[in-house]
Amino acid sequence: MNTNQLIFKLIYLISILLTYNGYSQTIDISGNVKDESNMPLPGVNIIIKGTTTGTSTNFDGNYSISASVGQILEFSYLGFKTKEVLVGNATTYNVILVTDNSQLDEVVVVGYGTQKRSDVTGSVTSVSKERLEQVPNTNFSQAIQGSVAGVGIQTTGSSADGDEINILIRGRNSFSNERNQPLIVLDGVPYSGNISDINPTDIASIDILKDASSSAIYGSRAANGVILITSKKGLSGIVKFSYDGLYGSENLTEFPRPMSPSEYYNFKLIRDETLITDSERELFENGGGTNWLDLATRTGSRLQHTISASGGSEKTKYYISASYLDVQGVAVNDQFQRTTLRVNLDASLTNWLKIGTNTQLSFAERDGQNASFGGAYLANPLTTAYNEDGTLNIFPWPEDVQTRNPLESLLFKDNHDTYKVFTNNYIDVNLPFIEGLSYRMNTGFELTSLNRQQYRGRDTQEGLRVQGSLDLEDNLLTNILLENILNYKNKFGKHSVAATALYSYQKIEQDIRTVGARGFPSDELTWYQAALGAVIEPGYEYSEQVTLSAMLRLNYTYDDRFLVTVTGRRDGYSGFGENNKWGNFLSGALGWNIHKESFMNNSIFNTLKLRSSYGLNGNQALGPYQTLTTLDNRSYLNGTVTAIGFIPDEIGNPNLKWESTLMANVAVDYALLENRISGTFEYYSSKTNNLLLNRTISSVSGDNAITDNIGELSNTGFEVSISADVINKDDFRWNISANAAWTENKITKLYGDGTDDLENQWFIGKPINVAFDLEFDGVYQIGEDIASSAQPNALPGHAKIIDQNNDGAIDDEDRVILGNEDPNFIAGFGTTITYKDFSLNIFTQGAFGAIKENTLLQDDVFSDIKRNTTPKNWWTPDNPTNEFWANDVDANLRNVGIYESIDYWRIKDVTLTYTLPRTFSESMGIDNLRVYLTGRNLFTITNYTGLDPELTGNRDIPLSKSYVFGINLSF
Amino acid sequence: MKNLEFIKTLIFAFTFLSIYSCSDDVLVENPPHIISPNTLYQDLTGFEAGINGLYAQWARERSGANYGDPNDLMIDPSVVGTDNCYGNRRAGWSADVGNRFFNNTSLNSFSRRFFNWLYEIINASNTIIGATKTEAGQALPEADRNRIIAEARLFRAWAYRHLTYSFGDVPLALETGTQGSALRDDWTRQPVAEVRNQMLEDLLFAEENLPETSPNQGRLVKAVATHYLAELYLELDPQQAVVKANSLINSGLYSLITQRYGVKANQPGTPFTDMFLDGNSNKTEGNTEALWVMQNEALTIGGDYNMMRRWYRGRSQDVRVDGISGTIIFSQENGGRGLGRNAPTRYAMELYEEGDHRGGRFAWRTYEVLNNPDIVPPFRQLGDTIFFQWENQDEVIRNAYWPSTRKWDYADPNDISGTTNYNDQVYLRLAETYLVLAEAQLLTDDAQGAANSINILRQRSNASPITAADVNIDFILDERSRELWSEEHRRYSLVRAGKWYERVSQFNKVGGPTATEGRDELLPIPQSVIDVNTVPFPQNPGY
Repeated sequence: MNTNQLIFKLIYLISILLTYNGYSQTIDISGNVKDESNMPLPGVNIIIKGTTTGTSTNFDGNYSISASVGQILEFSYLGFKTKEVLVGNATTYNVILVTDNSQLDEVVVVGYGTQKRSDVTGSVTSVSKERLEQVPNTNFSQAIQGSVAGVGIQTTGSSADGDEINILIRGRNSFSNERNQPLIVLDGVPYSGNISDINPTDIASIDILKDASSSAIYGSRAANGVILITSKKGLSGIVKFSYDGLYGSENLTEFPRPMSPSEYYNFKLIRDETLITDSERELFENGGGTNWLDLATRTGSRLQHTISASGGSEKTKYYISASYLDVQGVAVNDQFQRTTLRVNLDASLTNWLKIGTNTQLSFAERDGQNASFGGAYLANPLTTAYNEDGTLNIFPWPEDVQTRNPLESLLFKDNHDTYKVFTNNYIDVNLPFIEGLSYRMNTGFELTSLNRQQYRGRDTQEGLRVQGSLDLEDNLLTNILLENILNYKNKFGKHSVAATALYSYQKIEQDIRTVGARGFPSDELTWYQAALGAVIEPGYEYSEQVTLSAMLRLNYTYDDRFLVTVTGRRDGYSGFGENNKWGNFLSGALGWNIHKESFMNNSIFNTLKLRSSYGLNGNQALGPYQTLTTLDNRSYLNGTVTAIGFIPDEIGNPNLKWESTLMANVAVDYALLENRISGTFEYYSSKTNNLLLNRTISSVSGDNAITDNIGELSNTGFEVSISADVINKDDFRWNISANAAWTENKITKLYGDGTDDLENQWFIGKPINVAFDLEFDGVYQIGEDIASSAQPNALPGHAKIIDQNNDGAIDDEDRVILGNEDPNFIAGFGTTITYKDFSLNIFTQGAFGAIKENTLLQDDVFSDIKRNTTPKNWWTPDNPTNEFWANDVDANLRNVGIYESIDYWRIKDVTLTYTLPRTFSESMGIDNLRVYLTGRNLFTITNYTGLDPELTGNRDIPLSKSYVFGINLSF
Repeated sequence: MKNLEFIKTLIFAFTFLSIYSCSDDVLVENPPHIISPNTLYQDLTGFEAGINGLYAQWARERSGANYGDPNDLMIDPSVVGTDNCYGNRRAGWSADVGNRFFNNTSLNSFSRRFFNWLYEIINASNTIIGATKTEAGQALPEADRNRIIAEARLFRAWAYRHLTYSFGDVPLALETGTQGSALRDDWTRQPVAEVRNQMLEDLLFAEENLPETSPNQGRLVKAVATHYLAELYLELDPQQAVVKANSLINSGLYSLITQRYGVKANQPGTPFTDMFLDGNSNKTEGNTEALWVMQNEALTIGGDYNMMRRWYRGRSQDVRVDGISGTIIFSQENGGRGLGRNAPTRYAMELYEEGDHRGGRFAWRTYEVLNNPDIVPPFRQLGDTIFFQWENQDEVIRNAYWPSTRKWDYADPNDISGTTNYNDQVYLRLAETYLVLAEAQLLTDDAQGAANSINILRQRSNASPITAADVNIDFILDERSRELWSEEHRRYSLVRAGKWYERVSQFNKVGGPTATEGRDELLPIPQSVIDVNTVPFPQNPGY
């Protein structure tokens, strides 16, 4: 072909196109869209297939559009099956959309792909939409709590960013909290950052893999379950803008307060008058003193704005959002600001090639060191917080210069920024030659840069001692994922087969550079003056971990009735000992869709499915370099200068490997009465072997312990969930949903010699987290025969302890297991009532079966009475109570604690929503306008008298009560 | 479209293969930032770093039962719970091994840490000694290699000295504990005599190969080996002990401090107490008596340890005058902050005769000076000296009005009320060698020689001379207390003399009544050591 020919052909082509355009006949079409019951459907998307031209129906279900003959109109509406209509010569097309009835045809994210709900054989539970929207979630864990059977959230402190939580799926499979954390996979990429760095308003769905079969695709990291988070994607159709905003207040809840200055004075007077110092007496006499908790806490606030645009054509879809969150916590100076930008995009470039990205950029600020809540709780109230000139008094107790001002940390200059890029990019290729075979190259890249600077100047005690001190931290985390995924899907008559094969490489690298310096000429240059320090200690921490994996998953379905899944994964992990770098994980699952059998034709069941699975999963559990023999830095001096030194530190163990969990799962999914009632029953039993424990070794070897794979434990549990549309009228709907889970956790083996571990309080045959202690038994009373009791030296008013072994003495041998510290029953219950444009959602959640020491019920004020405590019903000769011992330093020398049940039921969220009627909103040119009011942690039923039954500690920042007003607008 | 199919296949094949070519090598860990035995002992600098680690471990005797945590000291069991020292506190290790022997059980975590710390030092020494046998070790210049081995062996002997006196028979570990897969779990308790033979070999090698002097004040020299040899020979061959002690005393390198010197030479004081002032402890600072000085340095890595003071110095802040609090504030003059956790027994305080510098006001704080201009009690004046009423009283716990030693007085000028002690401290001095000599002379029936040796010390401190008739083992123990209170490992002196129970029950009014004869002379072997051993590992009697 020569050039002329080419030009000719081009001109020819263009002219044909022009001609076609000129002659194509555009006609004005109108019509009406209704549902099966003949009700008009407003807001139905209508698009001319293959173009970006479209419209939507108005409140009466009417639409009009211009199209050419031969084009196809596509009618789509959430919850209905999409319908296509060929444009002919007619100008009116009335359409009836059919409800997409089966919830079980919903698509579920299962990891390395999606599946129809009815094809799923493993235990995959999705978090409901209600928990993700119109509630003040700082991070996604708050959406999970109580909404998925068998997933527990343990809160260790309620800071503004909400990061201080542990997620436990089906109880504990390992001994330490860190080793119990599930794998989090965001848009197909195992996530390694803070949970609060993911913007929850961008999340489209959260699916949780709980059993061995569903999670087996993640092999050596799956034993604690997997949380799959998928961000929102655009839908083809015209562009849709939306704005979500909320504002609210964060308030302290009720909790036991420490003593007031005058109560404290009287407490001290009784306990040991001689310890009252002159300054304390003076403050008491003048009615002075400080309520430290009031100064350390405040009413906080919460503000969030999110705007997004989504839409797309048949070939290209996008979701773009920007969001800003500002939380001011209830502890003074506890704050969190997060700005995120998300771009999700996919484009079919040709009929065989598609590319896409899911990308989030975020910037989080946690500036400022908050006032220590625990410090304020314990601070002596007969002291002075501020000097006369209004500055903070860093020696609040003149006679005791060691006493610090608990507000001192407010004066720290503190900057804490986290920048994050999280991007998932992929290429999909439909491969030639074999029908149904496709290939995906999936990549993930996560980069987190944490910068922290803190300076403690001479206006603080710490800074004064060392002439100013600073800490700088530069923490860079990179996470690179490269995956090759082959997918094959085909149907041969009644036989459907699907296969997924994976080869992946992931590297997580962390690079932490720190500088600690102290001893500065002045405070002027704050943290910028590290170079001027008398002592400068740079630190460098580094770690790299690599996981190589191959995985194969086979699904076979016969006639949509019988389902088989087999999964195998082989993982190599750099952190394992050199003798055990690789692990193999195999699982299988069977499913039977009973409702599709002919004998079920006339039953009330829309779904009745039996499924079971069995398989092995792992827990990497080891960080990098934990298997190596290392030396530790111990320096000395050459005269007055540093002499760098090292001594042997950890003794390595080249045999260390993953912890392995073998789990069996049996479940029934059901839906009946036209899907108005649906749910799942599930039973599981698992055994975990090779648990990492510090095996005590003879100190003669130079160390006390080495890590070894020796422990074993088991978990058994039962989970129930149900959702029911109790009333389903047009303008009145009532839905309830509930879930509950029982677990029984048991240590079956510790060190191989049948002995318990008293130091860590682990007992064979008992759950991991038990309360093991002396048992309080009231108070010795006047006239009681104390001399012949187990505490012959006690006096009336002293705490009485049960002599469990009846040996006539109270010692460590009298400690017994008082109960479980982890709940064995957790449940959630939610209900939504919708009447016309109003909707009320109430979500409650609770945990049962656990106890905890109420440490607020201890007078741990130190022997020289330097700390505060809560007021109590102290024993006195005139008040011969058994509730609490006397206010006397010797009254509880054995330190017996008072344990209480931490069972609770909490009204977590109450949300009232009003949706503007379509007629109004349409007249204003908007699709949808909703306003809502949410209250969080409004009310709790519990017998626990400590800080909060949900918190692990008693002197951490308590959960706050939030009131939030929010608005959703889309147009 | 054929081409397209080809391109598609190519893209697929290329990307797939590019990843599959990742080999297993990426799973091998090569941490670039972690020091391991294989990377450290490669040259002289590396070996020196290993030795420096031993010194840092040694400094923990006075700076922390846990590394960097000075809330209890490794020295506690060697010093408190004796005839001359008790825990002036309610709880903690020095109360457990000092006041309530029934709490000093095989499960006591402090005893376990103490035991573990000593074997950490032995393991570190063994690791270094083992590494000198490698190719890299053999490549070191011979003199350096022998000095390094000498330092390591001296530390090993020093650790076994602690172990044998504290626990009796102990396992003799002479090889490095290697990897987890090859750990020994069949240790046996070797007779003390056998352990001492090893200590003897180690110390003789050290004496042979350590330098006579070192420009570095904190570093081991020959004299330290000779001193410990003399002490060891008290058990093995007293005649040799006399020889060794004399060889050190007569070496010409050291002499007792008999004249005022140093930083406060022109202020009131005594020669004896001058040695303990900040700025006077090292040889370069005029201290001719010091054999080994524990180095410390504020705001310096490798120093910055918090040594001793909180435990031996009473806390003036708790002192009330005429019932009024806040009259005494921390000052550099009064020794800064203290906690006074370890205190002298009444016996220890009553040992001194009038005029003995070692019992005088520069050695002991038995008073406070009113120094808070803001709070002066009525009828008193700023600067008044308020004496504690402690005479003729038995020691009791939590007594703020009890004497405390001034040997470890120190206040950081930048932080008077701070908790830390940054001065260099004498660890071993020639006076103790004289007392070892006296003990050896007594054991070899040379009472006159013993009296002479002791008189040299007494004369220096203005105490009256004694005669040969005065000398017996009890007198020597009394004299050790007068001279070395809180410096010597008192428990070991008593155990060596077979006098621990007798004297503790007689003189320690707090802990004495809780002591059990036949049990508390030795500390309990940590239960974990017994439990994990696969062959029987007997506990000490009575525990």
